[in-house]
Amino acid sequence: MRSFGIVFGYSFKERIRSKSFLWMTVLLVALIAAIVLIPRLTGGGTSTQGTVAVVNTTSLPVDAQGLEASVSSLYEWKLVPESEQADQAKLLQNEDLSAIIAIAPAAEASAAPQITLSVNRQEDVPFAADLSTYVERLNINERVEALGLPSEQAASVTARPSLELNELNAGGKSFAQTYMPVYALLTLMFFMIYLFAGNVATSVSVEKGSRIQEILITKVSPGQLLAGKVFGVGVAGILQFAIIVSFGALLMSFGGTGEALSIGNLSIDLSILGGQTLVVTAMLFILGYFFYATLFAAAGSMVSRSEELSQATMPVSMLLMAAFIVSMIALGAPNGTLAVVSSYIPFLTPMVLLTRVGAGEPALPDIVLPIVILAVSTLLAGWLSAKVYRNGVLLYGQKPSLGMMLKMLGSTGKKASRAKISPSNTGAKDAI
Amino acid sequence: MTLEIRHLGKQYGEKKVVDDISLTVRSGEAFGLLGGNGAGKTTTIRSVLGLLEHEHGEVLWNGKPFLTHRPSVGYLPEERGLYPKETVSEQLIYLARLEGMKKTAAQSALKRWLERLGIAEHEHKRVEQLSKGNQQKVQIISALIHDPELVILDEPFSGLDPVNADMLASVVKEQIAKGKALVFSSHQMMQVEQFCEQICILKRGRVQIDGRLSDIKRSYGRSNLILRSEADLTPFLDTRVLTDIRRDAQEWTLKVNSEAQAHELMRELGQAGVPMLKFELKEPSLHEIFIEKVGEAV
Repeated sequence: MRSFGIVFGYSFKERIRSKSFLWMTVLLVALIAAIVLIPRLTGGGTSTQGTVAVVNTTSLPVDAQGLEASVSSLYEWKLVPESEQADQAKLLQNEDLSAIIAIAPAAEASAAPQITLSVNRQEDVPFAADLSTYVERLNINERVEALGLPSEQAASVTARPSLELNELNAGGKSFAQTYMPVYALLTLMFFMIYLFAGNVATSVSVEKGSRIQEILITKVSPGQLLAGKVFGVGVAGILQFAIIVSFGALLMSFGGTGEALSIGNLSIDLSILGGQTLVVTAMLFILGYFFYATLFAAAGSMVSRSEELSQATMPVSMLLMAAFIVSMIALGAPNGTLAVVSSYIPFLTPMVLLTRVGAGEPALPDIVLPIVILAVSTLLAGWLSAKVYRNGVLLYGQKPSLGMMLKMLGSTGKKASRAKISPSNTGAKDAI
Repeated sequence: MTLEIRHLGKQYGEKKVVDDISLTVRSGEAFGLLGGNGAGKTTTIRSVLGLLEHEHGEVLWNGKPFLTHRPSVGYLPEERGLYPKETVSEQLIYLARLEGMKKTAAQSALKRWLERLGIAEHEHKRVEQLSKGNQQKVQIISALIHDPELVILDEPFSGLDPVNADMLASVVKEQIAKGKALVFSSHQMMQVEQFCEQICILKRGRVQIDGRLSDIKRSYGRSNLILRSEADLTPFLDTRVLTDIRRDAQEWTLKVNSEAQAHELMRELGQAGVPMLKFELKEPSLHEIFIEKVGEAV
């Protein structure tokens, strides 16, 4: 236990003093600062998508409030006289305007008014249908009024259908609200695990490549060495994560608005997810890290030189990437079959379960069971990795391969045994 | 304190790389494990330390299983290894602490050793910034800083220049004087002859000869005869049944079967009136024994 503590302390210190740790922290803090501060400095807090100029040459009572209420609240509506239409066209060309709407009387008195919508790109204006409906209604109102009908009849002609939204899954999470926070957490989890578990692999391969390994394992058992390293780097990762998150929180509260962190008009408000989700997320982060870190360490122990590292860790990186991709797909249907089934597969669990808990509504057993499976698998992965590590750390001159890894798992010895794995001359040469 | 290896055996597939090796190392004594390349020296050492699993035999420390009653070990592996990017002091203190030393004790021991080996000014440099010779010194400190009971040095002199080799030799003598049990693997006979009382010569994993160096030499008898004369001895020696005659200027070295044969030769030389300057009977050198036993050049 004492050795574990020393290895832990050394790995932790080595990690937090590394340049990559410093730069990664600075970079992420700067990124958060940019996301929080830049909209405040430039946009002044307005959340409109742009300005639309409206040239109304009909007698219809088109006004800014009506447009905002009935067509789109995302735009600023500006009524301009016909004489300024040419100037507005220039503004539109310079992208200072989102669109120009010209509402003109039809050539025939019985026809409906003519709406001309000028935009730079069609996808700039998602409100064309609503605009048409708005103008149509104003037109109907005006003509019904012109008929001079009694008010009851007039009201019955212009009456609008009542629309009641019957939400079956009432109180459930809205896709729009949960998408960004879960997406952000998944991305963060992917990078943190990749970075820190990858760092464990690098550290193992450096010790092996520099041959200090042979001295170390006369002093510490490979299991303690592996555990000390994984925990040391892991705690450094948690520290880094805490620095970044608390800086982000500080910055947002300092900003004073209490607004959610947002990119464009998509907000990342973790509080939407609720306490339970955050607790589960923290557990998944930790278990996910340990699961992958031990696998990365086993892969790292297979290489003779650190140049071979990326090749050796490829299968593990692929698993991690698969988890990320599956969780992204599951985000579209967090209660679907894919999400449910894959959340039980240990190497997918950390990310897919996060998707399910964050964006869907799994029942409690559906949360607990995958976590238990993941925890057991992590212990198993740790045990198997320690076995590969034990055999791998003294093995030089052989190409790392999955087949060799499996042979190592098959070897029974407590200590490194190359008898079963290196009958070839390249490996044996080194041993003599 | 005694390290005892009994009938150690290790094989890779069908190939026996260590075959029934037994030896005993006592404290205050240096044991020379000799052999050519591929003789099984490193495999034996790694098996003792538990770095490799062995199929046969046992390793004991004071009569108890080595791995469960492990003494503190100072190990200098054949393949040297240090953290290239870490400073000298950091990694040496780390390694010392892993052997159970307190941090402060490790720091003062480190200071002493750096002074002793003349590299005190490199304490806070990264290992990769040091010259090869100085890296070797750091490596030696890593093996000895925690004052181990058992010191295992695998080819300690390879790659050392004469100055550093002398420095290491004095360190090794000091360790023996302090009562450490020392195992020494080498194929440089000079150094082994200098320190080791006990030796064991391995060939293809098997013990060729072992025991006290002086006993081994005595068992060979004084079979080296050295003659020095201003006259040319070659015609005289050629008429006798003698082997391995070598001539260096005025000196002839040859093998005799027995001391009696040598005395007979001296008598004949006297009768023939050859003026002799030197007549010496010597034991074979370890180098010669090694060549004879291993049967290949080193």
